[in-house]
Amino acid sequence: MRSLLGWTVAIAMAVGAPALAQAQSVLTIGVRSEASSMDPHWTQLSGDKQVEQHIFERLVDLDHNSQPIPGLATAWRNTDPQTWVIELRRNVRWHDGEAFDADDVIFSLDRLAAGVAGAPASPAFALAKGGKKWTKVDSHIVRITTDGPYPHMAEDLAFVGMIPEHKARGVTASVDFNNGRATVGTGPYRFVEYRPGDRIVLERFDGYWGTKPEWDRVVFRPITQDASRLAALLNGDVDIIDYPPTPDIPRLRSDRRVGISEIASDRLIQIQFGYRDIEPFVFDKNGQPLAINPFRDVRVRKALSLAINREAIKDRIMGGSSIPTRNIVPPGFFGFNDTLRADPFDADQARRLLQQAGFGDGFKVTLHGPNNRYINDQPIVEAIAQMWTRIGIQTDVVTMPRNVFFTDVIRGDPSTVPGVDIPKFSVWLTGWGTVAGEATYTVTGLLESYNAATGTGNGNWGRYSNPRIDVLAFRARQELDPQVRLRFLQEATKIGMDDYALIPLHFQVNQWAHRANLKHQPRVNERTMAYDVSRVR
Amino acid sequence: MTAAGGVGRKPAADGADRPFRTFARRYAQSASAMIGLVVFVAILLLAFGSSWIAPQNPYDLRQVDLLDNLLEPGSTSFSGMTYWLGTDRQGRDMLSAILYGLRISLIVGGLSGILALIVGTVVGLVAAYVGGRTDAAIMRVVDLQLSIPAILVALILLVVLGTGVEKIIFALVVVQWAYFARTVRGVALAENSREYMDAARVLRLGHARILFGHLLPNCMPTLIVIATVQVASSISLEATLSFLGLGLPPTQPSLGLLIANGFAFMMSGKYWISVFPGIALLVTIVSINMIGDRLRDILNPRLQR
Amino acid sequence: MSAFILRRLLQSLFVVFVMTLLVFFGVNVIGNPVYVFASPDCNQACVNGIIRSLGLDRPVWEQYVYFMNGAVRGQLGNSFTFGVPAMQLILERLPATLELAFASLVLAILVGLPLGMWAGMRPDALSSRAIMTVSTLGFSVPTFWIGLILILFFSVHLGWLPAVGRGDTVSVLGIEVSFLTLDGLSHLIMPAFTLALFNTSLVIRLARAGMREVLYADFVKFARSKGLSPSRILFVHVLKNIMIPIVTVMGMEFGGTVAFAVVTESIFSWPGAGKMLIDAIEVLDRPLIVAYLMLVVVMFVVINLVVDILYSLLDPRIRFSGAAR
Repeated sequence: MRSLLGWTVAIAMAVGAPALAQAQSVLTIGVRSEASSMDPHWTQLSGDKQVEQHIFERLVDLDHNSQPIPGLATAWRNTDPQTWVIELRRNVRWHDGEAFDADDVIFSLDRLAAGVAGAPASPAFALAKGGKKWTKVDSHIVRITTDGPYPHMAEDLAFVGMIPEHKARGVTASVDFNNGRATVGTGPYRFVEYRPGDRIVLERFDGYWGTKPEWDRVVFRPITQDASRLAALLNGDVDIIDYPPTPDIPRLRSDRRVGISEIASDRLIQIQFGYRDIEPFVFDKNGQPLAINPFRDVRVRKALSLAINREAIKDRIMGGSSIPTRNIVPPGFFGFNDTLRADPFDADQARRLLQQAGFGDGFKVTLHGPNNRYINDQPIVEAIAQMWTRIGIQTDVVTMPRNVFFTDVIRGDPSTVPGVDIPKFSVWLTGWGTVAGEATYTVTGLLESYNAATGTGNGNWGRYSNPRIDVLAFRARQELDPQVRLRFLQEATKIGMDDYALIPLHFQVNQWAHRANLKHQPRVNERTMAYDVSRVR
Repeated sequence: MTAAGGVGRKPAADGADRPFRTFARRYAQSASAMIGLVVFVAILLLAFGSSWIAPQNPYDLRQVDLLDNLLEPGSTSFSGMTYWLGTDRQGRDMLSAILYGLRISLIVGGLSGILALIVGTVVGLVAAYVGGRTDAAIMRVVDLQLSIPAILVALILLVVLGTGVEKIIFALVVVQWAYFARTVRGVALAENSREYMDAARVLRLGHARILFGHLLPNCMPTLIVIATVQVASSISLEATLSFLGLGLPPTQPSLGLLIANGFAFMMSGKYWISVFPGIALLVTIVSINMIGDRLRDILNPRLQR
Repeated sequence: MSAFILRRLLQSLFVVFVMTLLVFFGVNVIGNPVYVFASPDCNQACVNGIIRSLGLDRPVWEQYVYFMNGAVRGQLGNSFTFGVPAMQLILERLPATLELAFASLVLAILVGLPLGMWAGMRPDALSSRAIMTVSTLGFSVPTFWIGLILILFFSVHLGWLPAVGRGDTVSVLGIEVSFLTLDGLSHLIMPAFTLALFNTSLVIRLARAGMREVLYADFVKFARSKGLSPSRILFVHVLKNIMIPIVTVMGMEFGGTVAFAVVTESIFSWPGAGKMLIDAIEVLDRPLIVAYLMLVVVMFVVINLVVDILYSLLDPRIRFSGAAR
C-alpha cells in the first residue's frame, strides 16, 4: 500500500516538474465544433478547417473579410481568358525542412481531384468547376486552363490545402493525418498531438516564411455546450472561445476580465417559401389544406416580411448582435447593394397587404427550422411564429436537428426520386454563407432557377424562378470585367428582393470572448485562428 | 395510478371496508408520507388545472410577447400582468410554462406507468399461469430487458423513432414493463400453489376468471408500490432524455426541456429559467417517492430493489 | 454443468445477434447524414458522390451484411465524421468513461458506507433519519439537474472548480488517467459526484440494512461475549460481512453507471465514449452510434453471462431464475 502511494507521488511529480519548467506561451482555444480530421482534403467543415489551416496553407489565402490574398502563390493572372498562370512563393520549407515547389502543388491538386477515399465532403468540387486542368511550367510556376472564361480561380484555389508529396504519397486519408505521419505542412504551426474529444495541440514552426507566430503552443479544446464553454473561459481553463452564448453578451461587455471581438458574418439568415401550386403545410383556419398557395402572391410575402420585428429579434434574442438586412451578401462583399434597406416593422401595413391579397382572415402555416445549426435558430423561429400569429397567420413551429432538417427541406417529400429532389416543407428558416467572398455564388445559389444538372439554384429549395434573374446571373458568371459583373449582381439582387423571393432577416455576427489581456482580430468566415490572437502589451 | 386510487381498489379485492381504514390509519402514522401525499395532490390539482390557474397559456403565441423576455421574477408586463417566476427567452411566463410542463411530465410519466403496468401484468400472469417453455422464453426476454439500463434502451429507441409524446411514452413503456412482469410472475407463482387456486381449478373456472379474478388481486399491493416508484423514475427519465434533446419536441416543453432551455442562461445569472422548473421536478418526484416508501412499508411486498 | 454454460453462451450469442439487427436497422432508417458534410455549394453530382463515399447507396440489407462481416472481425465500419474505424474511436475514449464510472463507484462507497452504517446503528436518531431522507432524494433527483446546480455554484459562483473537460492526465501503463494529477482531480470531482448520487443512495440503503441484520447475528453476539473491542467488531467482523453484498451490487451497477455516464459526460463535456455517442447522434454518424451501442450491449451480455455462470457454480439450484438486478 505504502509503496503504491509513493509510486503515485513519484509519477505526479515527474509529470508536474516539466510542466513547471516550461515557461511557454500557450494559447488555449475553446471551440464549439471539434475538428474531425487533420486531412485538408477531408471536409469543408469550419471546425476542421480552422485547425488544419494552421498547419497546411493554400495557394490563395483569404483575409479577414474573405477576400483573396497571396498565400503560397505570390501572383495569379490571366494570360488569356482561359489560362491562368500561378507563381509560387520561393524559399518556402515544409516542417521537416524539405523545399516546397510546383511538384507538391500538382500532387495536391491531383490527390484532391482524384477523390479522397472515404472523405465525406472533400472540397474537390472547387477543382471540378470550369473544367480546370493544371500543368507544371517550372519549379515555381503552375498553369491552369479552363474550358471558358473563369473569373473565380482565386476563390476556388482558396479551398485547396497544399500537402507535401514526399510525405503524403500513398498514405491513408485522414488516418495518417490524425496520427501525425503525414501532418507536415508549410504553415506557422506544426502538428503535435490529436486526442479526439479532448484536445489538439500545435506548436510554433520556427522556419515559417511569414510573420513569426506569437504562441509557442496552441491547444484547441472542443466544448460543445455553450454555457460550459463560457464557464471554461471565466474560470481560466481556456483563453478564448468562439460563439459565446448571446444572452451573456451584454453582461460580458461590462465584465473587465473579458473582451469581446466581433465582425459581421457572411451568413445570411432568411425565410424561404415553397412555390408549388399546393403547399403541404399551409392550411385554412380549420386546419384543412388550402387549395391555393398564398406564398405565390408577392403581397403575402411582403406582408410576412413587414410583420417581422427585426430589431426586437436583434435586441431580445441576439444580444444586440445581428445586422438586419435586405441584402444577400454582407456589406463589404463584392455585389452588396447599398440601396437596399432592411424592411421596417409595420404590422398594420402587413395586415392591409393580406387584406388586399384576399387573406384578410389569415391562414395557418407550419414554420420549420433547424435547432442546432445557426446562432439562436430555434428562438428566432419561435419569435417569428409569434409575430406572424399576431397579424392573423397562425403559425406552428417545428424545429429539428440540422441533419434531419436539411434532408427534409431538400428532398424530404415522399415523391422524391433519385436525381429529382422535392422539398418537404412550405416555409422555413435557413442560412446561407457566402463562403466565396462575392455575390455570384449567392445569386446563383439562392435566386437563380433550380437546375440539378448545372447546380444553379442549389440553395433555392423552394424553387423560386424569375427569368430576368436567370439571365443576369448567367451573364455575371461569364463576365471578366468586375464593374460590369458588379452591376449585373446588384441588379439581380434588387429584382429578387423587390419580389420577396425570400425574406432576409439578418446577417449573423461572429463573436468571440477572450481574456481581457488578449487581442483578437475576427474573421468573416467564422474561423478561429491562433495568429489572429495576440497579447496586449 | 395515484395512491388514493390504488387504496380504493384494494378493499374491493378483499371485499370488506375495514382494511381500508386500517390502511389509512397506518399510512397517516408517517408524517413525511402525509406531507408527500398532500404535496402530490396539490401538484396534481395545479398541473391538471393549469388551463384555469395559469396566468397565461404559454402555447398560445398571441399571449406571449418577445418584448417581455428574460424578465426577472416579480416583474410586471406591459399589459400589467405580473410574472411571478419571471419569463424565458421568448417572453413566456415561467409559472405558466412550469404548470403546463408539469402536466405534460405527469401525463407522460403516468400514462407510460399505466401502460407498462398493463402490459407487464398480462405478460407476467400469462407466464406464471401457462408455465413451461412459454414461461422460460418470456422470462429470458424480461431478464435481458432488465439487464440493460433503462437509459440506454430509451436512448436507442428515441434515436430510432425520433421525438414526440407518443414516442417517448412508447420508449418508457418498453423500459418499464419488465419490472411489472417479473414481479407479477413471482407473486402469481407463489399464489398458484395456494389452496384457493387448486379450488378454483377444481371448480373449472375459466382461465380469464382465474387470472384476473384471483391471481391479479393478490398481486395488487406489490404492483401499486412498483407503479409509484416507476412513475417517479419515468418522469425523471423523460426529463433526462428531453434534456439531452431526445425527448419531447420544443412545442410541448416538459420540465426537462424547460431546464435544458434554461441551461444556456445559467452563466448570466438568469437562474430562474432553469432553477424553478428543476425545483418543480424535484418536488414532484420526491413527493411520489415519499408516498411509495410508505406504501412499501405498509404493503411490504418483497421488492428486489 | 457444461451443458448449462453452453446453453447460456448460445443464448447470449443469439441476444447479441438480435441486438445487431435491431440497432443496425433502427439506426439506418433515420435521417440522412449527407447534408452535414455537403457544403451549400454541393450540387447533385457532389451529393451523390458523398452518398457513394458513405456507402449509403447500397440497400440496407447489403449494408448489414457488410457490417456483420466486419463485426465478426471486430471492425464495425469507419466513422462518417472521423474516417477512422469506429471501434478504435470508442476504445480511445473508453478509458475516460471507465475512469469516471470507477471514480463514482469508489465515491459512492466512501460516502455511502459510513452514512449507511451510522443509520443502521442508530435507526431512530434524528441524524439517521436525515441520512435516509437524503438517500431518498438521491434516488429521486434527476442527476443532470444536480450537475447544473453544481456547475452554477462551484464553477460560476465560487470559481473553485473547472466546469468542463478532463484536465491534465498521466499515462499509467499506457492508459491516460486524470486522478493522479491535482488538475485532473479537480476536473474529476464534480462529474464523479454527480454520477455517484444514485449509487451512494443505494450503498446507504444496503449498508443500513446489512448493519441491522448483522448486528443481531450470532457471530456478533459471540464476538461481544468474547470481549472483543466494539471498534474491532465493527471494522473487522461487521464490515467484512456487509461489504460482500455492497461490492456485489456495485459490480453489477457498473454497467448501468457506464451507460448513465452519457448524461454526466454531456453536462461536463467529459471526453468519454458517452459524450461521443451524443455528438454522434447529433450528426447521425451511424457507424459510431452502432459501434457504441454494440459495445455496451456486448458488455452487458458478458457481465450477465459471467454472473449467471458464477451463480450457477456457487448454487447449482439456480438455473433459470436469472440474477437479481
